Amino acid sequence: MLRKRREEEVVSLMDQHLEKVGECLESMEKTIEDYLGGNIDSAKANALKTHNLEGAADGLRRRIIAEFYKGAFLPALREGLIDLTLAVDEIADRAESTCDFIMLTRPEIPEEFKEDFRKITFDSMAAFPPLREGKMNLFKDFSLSREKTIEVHGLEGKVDAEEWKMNRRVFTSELLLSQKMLLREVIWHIASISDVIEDAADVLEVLIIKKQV
Amino acid sequence: MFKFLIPLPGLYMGWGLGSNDAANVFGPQVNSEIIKYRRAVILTAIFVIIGALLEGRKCFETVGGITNLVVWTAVVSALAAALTVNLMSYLKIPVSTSQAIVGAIIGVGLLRHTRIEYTLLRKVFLCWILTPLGAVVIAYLLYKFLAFAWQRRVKNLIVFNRIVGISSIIIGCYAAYTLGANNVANTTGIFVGVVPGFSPLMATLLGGGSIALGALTYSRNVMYTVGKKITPLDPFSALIVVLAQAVTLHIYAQLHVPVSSSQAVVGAVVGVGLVKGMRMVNKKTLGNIFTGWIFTLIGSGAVAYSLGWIVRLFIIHG
Repeated sequence: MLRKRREEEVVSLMDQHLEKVGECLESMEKTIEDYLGGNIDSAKANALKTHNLEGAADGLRRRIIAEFYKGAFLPALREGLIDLTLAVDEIADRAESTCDFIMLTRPEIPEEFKEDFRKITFDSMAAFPPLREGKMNLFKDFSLSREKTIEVHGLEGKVDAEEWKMNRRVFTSELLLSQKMLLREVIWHIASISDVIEDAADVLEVLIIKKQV
Repeated sequence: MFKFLIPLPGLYMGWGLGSNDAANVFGPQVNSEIIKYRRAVILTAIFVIIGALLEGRKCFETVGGITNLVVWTAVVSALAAALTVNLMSYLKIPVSTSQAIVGAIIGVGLLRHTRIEYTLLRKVFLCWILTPLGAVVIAYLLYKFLAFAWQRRVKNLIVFNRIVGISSIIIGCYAAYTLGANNVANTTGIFVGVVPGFSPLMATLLGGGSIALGALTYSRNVMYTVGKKITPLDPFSALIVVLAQAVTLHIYAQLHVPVSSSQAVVGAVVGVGLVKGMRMVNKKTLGNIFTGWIFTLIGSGAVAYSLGWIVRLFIIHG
């Protein structure tokens, strides 16, 4: 009975953690949007909010792992679930570091690139909802989880292609090399959000495959 | 006056059996931390005794029926079998208490020129050959059947967690029960009908108790070494291996033939491998089993013959 309650507690904490990571991504998106719109003060406030949300996600991650070490779930499952929690947490870390990078370096983004930055930010974040659904279904229906992880892979591939095209546009433009290098770093940071989402989806997929006979 | 000391070699054998074979019952569950070692050996002890009490006497007629035994030959056989098991374990040769006790009985039978029931022996040998082969088939069928049910029932991680947790304990208890039911005859079965006043109930109780004591006091090392060999399998496959081994032992208990649980485990691992299209056991392991059969049988026979010769020369005739 106690073990069952502990497991329900872990599932609830994992859901809260995932929600917090989602909020972190939304806050990052607002930071980028404000920055592109020239609202630096608002961007700074949202970057700080992202930082706080990442801290809250970290707190939840620590509580989840502590519950695992108290004995929630069978040891055969614990390792995979801890890996999944860490992989999901990495998404919040990356959102925070993207905000930090932009607010620290304050790159000058030419007008003709702004729409591309908005689009890659939106597309990179679009990989998160299927991951969230896939992870939620881990405790409801394995088969739906698997479908969602496949969806994440497709979305991440799309962002990779966009990243490559954006870099090409940047490097064939008339900007200074130092500007080009800086913009490439910003693009990499934004696109890497979908990479870490895909990494979490990979962990989820392995967890599902290992538990099937 | 010293009548109560007569079954001691059998109890020693039971202690060794319990310390070695508890790993086949709860090894994977303990190694994957589904159940704590202490709790596992307590459950093993309880269910071994229950199995011995309820079904243990079924194999007594086989062990006691190979040849005509008297008190001193029964003691020599039990002692020779126990010494052989110890020696073989020390030499790291896979050993079966069933083969050790039968070999020892044949040894003293040859020494005393008493009639050996070859028809019964043929049945026993056939069962030994069929033990790993039967376990292959049982594991294969169990995997196929239960995997079907598993896929229909286990739809998420919560259900997986509960089913693996509960079934691990139930299957472990059943395996301990069948170990007691099938193997208790190897410990004290030889004294039933030979030692006056030594009833089958007393034999199952003392034999089961000695196996339980072995599991409780000296099974930790084997549990963590042998059990680990099964643990790398996924939880479902590991459970199938333990269950197939238990079903195999239970079937042979109904056929009144004590068999080796370790050999049944190897067969079950091969069976699971066949379903998964993987080779889980190498030729060396299979070769070791065959070597174990031959060496245990001949070794315990030779030890019993030599020991009996000494006893007859210096104690019986002297």
